[in-house]
Amino acid sequence: MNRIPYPLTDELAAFFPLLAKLVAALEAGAEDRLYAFAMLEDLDQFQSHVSQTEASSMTTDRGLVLRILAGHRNFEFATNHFDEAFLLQEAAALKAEALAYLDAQNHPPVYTPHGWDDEPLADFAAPVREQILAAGHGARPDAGTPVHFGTAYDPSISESLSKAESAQRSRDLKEAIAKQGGDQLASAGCMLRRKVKSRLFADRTRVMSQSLFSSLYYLYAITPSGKTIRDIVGGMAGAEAGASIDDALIAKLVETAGKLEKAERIQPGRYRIITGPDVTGVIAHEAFGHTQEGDTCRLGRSCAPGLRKKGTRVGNEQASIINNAGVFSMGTTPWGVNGTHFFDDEGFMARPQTILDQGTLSSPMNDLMASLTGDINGPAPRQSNGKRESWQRPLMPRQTNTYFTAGDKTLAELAELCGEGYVAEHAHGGMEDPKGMGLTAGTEYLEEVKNGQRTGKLFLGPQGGHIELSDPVPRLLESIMAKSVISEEDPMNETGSEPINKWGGCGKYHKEGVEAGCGGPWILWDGMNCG
Amino acid sequence: MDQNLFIEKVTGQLAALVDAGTLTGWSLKATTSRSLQRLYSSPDGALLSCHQSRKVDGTAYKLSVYSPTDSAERVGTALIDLTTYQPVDRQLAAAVDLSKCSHNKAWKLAGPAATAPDAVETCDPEIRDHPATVVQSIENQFTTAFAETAGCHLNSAELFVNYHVSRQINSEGLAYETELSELYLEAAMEKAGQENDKEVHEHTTSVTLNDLNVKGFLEACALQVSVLGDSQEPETTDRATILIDKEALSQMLDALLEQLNCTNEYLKLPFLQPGDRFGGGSGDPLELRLDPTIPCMVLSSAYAADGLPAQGGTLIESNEVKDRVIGNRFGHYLGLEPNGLSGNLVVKAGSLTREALRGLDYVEVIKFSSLLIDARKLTWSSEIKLGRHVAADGSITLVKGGVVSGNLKENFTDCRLSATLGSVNVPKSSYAPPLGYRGPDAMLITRGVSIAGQTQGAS
Repeated sequence: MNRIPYPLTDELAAFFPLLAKLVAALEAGAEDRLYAFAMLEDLDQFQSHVSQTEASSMTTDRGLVLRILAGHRNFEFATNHFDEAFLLQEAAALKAEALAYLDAQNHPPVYTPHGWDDEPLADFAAPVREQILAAGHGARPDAGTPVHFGTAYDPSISESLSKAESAQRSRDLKEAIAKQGGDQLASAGCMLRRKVKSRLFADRTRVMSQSLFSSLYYLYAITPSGKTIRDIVGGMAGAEAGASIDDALIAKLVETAGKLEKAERIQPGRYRIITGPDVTGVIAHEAFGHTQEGDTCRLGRSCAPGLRKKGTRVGNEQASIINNAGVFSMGTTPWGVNGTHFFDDEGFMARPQTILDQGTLSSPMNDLMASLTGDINGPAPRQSNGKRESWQRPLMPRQTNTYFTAGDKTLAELAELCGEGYVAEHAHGGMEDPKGMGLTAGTEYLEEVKNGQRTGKLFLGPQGGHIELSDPVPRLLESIMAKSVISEEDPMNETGSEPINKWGGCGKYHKEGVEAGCGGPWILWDGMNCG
Repeated sequence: MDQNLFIEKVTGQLAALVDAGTLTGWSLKATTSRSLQRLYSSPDGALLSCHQSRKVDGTAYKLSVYSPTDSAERVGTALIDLTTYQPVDRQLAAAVDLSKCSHNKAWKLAGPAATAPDAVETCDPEIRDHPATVVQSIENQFTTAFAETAGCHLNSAELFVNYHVSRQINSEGLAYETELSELYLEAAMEKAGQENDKEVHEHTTSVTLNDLNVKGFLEACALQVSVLGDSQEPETTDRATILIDKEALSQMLDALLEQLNCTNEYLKLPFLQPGDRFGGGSGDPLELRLDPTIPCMVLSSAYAADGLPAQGGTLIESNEVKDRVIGNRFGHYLGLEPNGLSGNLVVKAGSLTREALRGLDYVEVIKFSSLLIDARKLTWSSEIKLGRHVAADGSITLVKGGVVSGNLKENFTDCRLSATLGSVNVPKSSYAPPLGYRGPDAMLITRGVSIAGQTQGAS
């Protein structure tokens, strides 16, 4: 497989001079009082959804955000009108507003951005580091040199860039599910989405861009009583991301649908549970994922700063969670998922952060503002977590890819250790209460484990719906009994890969949807409330 | 480019494509949006301190095109975003190409009504014309109202003042404009003067400034703060009685509404049709209707989504399905007459009063952590973020955690709906479609609910 970085189009690259001009207009004569950047977002997405009807769509969205950080307040103007005179006028208005605010402050702090020379290249994932050095012809680039980052894809697969072929693939997959299911299914479908999400960033220290090319295959089967079974395959790649969809995967999807249609219901209660990477990831995201978001911490809305200050451990030695936007390979898969980026929406480079280390909390996942203001433990390092739903929405510290670290067991060994319990493999949402440390993670169904073996027998919730797994976070993180290796084909992780992350999204409490991967190994938990 | 000029250019080229037989039809929606957004901290626990101040200004164009296929019974379809920075002819050519990727059964687009429907009030002119004044007014109201609460420490707040105006036109001559104003106010607060492991995090939304009721919102938040204290997990049971509020009830009915739409029948998803029964028993009967004419609610509109004149009407009467939503496209597919039914969910009051709860053992769910409702199975499940267990003798225990799950068909059997009415007005977001509801502000569910929590008698 010959994979190359996704390029920046000439049409987008032509925006760099405008961005530089806008940054100059925002800062001119006030560089010692405020800091500004300009960010252009561009979304180019194709989607084909085939079920009882067919739908093809192209989503194009481009917007510009002008930002001034003045003291401890962010001022932003965002638009999708690109007339230069209009933008310069709005930049002047934004600057005047920020300066008026500063004039009313006593000794407001001033932020000075770091340049390429200050970047800790050794901490960056190889694709990040390599593309920085490539732009600088082997050295660190200077402030005016455009640096482009692209996720790798295989250009030899024509489906990757062909809408017609992608639509046909979507149709074929839907037909294959329907054929396999026959009369036992009411409906079947496939949604295929191909997306290029680009960002152009300019401030006084750098001009850079990134193009994140991703593919998503969402397959589903629906039984006559409305039970829906889905499989989500995708990643930061072209059509190669869908290569693993074969007859066996479709047969398994349909077989599961048949089993669920007749599934028994569990009794509400506590059970020993083995979570697959999908559900493991939701728990990672919720358990000290949201609790470790910088704004939640600094606004007094999280228990984490207090626990950290007291040195309280909140999990056992197996409870280690990482947040990392720089996931470019997972297990034996040579690409990441949709939480991956090279830099965040404030232009800060991706790097891993251990947010929970064997039950001990680190500093939070900070955006620029949270890193400056800090929480009750004081200011803390900035991370690559400044994200927004789109140019139309505010920026907040958000998670990228959040995952548990791996262990040393095989899945069969975990089942043996489990004895009697259930496997929760397919996630169905989740939520956390950062102040109260409550956590809930949904799973579509449970598979029985009996006498240390998976039986293949499936169970639904007490009322016939999905099942929520819930516990207070510290209790949950103390109950980890064992974790699996990243890949049983590479038990010693000689490839140095990250654990499997799954395609996901996150709404902060109930809004501001962003992309967020999450994952980890298979984990055996001693007990969870299931209902 | 000026919006009118752009639309004129686009529609001119679309008409030419129809004349040439390249397209059989099209529809275009142009939306201009303006938003002022404020995120606040509160270093002193009482006053608002803005840390993010945003102004957003945007325009979006959504174009659907329909192209001929080899069969008159089938049509090619595509939906694209048009942009003003790319050549129109190139974008339309791409749309035509894309429509060849999706073939569907043909249907006729809605045309103009013989009589234009009556206008419906969906916008506060103050929000449209003076959004900065509205921001200032809400900030002032917030500060005053928060100062009147007792024992509360403010952690954060958010305010969004939004305005959208949309113009819809299609190849059949349909042309109309709709406006919508939206306010979103959020507050997170906790007990003052102590270390807390619970906070109250609530939001309120409205179409008009008057309906936002900042003072009432903060009083309700403060009331929740006042009951915060030590809590325990609810007890495990397979037969729970629970009391839910209007937000949860409206979400459950919104899920039910999906099965009352003929689209489900065509898509081979579970559906309800006239004559079917939903719930019942000896409790309060369910009387559900849609109303698109209530002024200043998010689902009020003179037009249904497909361009038909919006109509109100009864869907369920005494737990029996009387009618269902029949849209233009899927009604045509199924051979049913489109009825334009749309709008806000309206439910008749029941008989439940606070007095009627005396002597009952139940869990009042003040807030679900994340209420996930499956509109196909009509089941739901959530952790309890905050609740109260009320014993038969009237003693109250704060509960938190555990999992409560239910089955709507059972839940609406032998249930009691409150005698008092309330409204829910949730604008559209990327997270959820809009939801407008006017009906009982509480529901007592006695069937089809399980709770997983602590074992009875255990601490």
